[in-house]
Amino acid sequence: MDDITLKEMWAGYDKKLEKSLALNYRLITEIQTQKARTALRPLKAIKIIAVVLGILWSLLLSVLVCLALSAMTYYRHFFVISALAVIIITVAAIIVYIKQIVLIQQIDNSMHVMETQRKLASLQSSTINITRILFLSAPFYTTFYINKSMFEHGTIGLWVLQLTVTTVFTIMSIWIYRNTRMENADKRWFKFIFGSSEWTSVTKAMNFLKEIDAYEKE
Amino acid sequence: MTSSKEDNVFLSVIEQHKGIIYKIANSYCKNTEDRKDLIQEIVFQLWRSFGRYNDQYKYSTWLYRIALNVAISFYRKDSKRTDRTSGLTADIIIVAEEKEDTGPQLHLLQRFISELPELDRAIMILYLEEKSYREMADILGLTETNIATKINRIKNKLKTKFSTIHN
Repeated sequence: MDDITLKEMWAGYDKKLEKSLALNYRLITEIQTQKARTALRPLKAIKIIAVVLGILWSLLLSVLVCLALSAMTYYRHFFVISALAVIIITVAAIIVYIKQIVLIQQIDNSMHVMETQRKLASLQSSTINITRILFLSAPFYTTFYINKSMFEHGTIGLWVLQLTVTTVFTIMSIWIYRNTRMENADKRWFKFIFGSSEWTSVTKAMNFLKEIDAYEKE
Repeated sequence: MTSSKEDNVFLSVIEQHKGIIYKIANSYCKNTEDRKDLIQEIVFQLWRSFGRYNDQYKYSTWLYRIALNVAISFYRKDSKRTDRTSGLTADIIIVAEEKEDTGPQLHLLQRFISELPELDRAIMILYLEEKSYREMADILGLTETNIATKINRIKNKLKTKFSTIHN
């Protein structure tokens, strides 16, 4: 089986197709009148909504922080610190979302195949970065409500429970943040957390990115 | 270019390259419904991009880039597709006598190509279409040396598959 034979076979296929293919002009005309729809358009809309919601959430928390600061007591430190941490983490996630929107804008199918595929795969795989970042905010949701009454009337049992929950959330979120990487995609815990079909496409994209890297280096 | 002139030029470009669109779609989708969908998506993306066509490249280079990009992205989506890319139900490219025998060797070649990883598949299609290394580099965004190395590797893979079948 030499090169010429392969090419001859393909040329034969070409000839056969030439005779048997016909265009449906009516359908093409219909396509020409369709409004812009792209596979990425709904994705972009979702990201824009996420950015808007993220900004609103951060603004709401900022207002609450300002109110808490205006009548600052020792016990409000917990709320202020927790809310500030959540704001910072949300802003970090918003930045990643904005980067993704910019990336969507840049994706053009008429560019080099490798470049376009790299951008598409980066776009999909960066979704995991947002999740990693947002996981970091989890411990702060276990501390913002600590108040004066808890200090005054809280039992030891309550404080043991509070400390356990906060410690577990802290350890888990740091661990997830540090370990959510492509190298761990085949681990059981990774598949458990990111096992749904939505995440499968993200992990596939991460694998494809690695493939593209290797392909360009070979 | 006026709108109707643009429409006509687009139609003639698609007419000239319908074989390429069909072969790419066929290499990335074996399922008839998916293939129909992929062809619609390719033609739609070509139309979307047509207004921005850069004449420093040949029409074929522009068309290969879009068709391969759309096909690879389409292929990488979940295999069980329930969503249709458009409301169009008929075929854009109609194949007469589709069931006519294409010959066992060609059938094997098509099967082996469809078993290649998606990027190798793109290279092999371009190679069989007798594109120059320069044009392949323009379409794919790889160096000519890299392309040459890969073509040799893929050809060897295909030859081994053919010889395994024949022995």
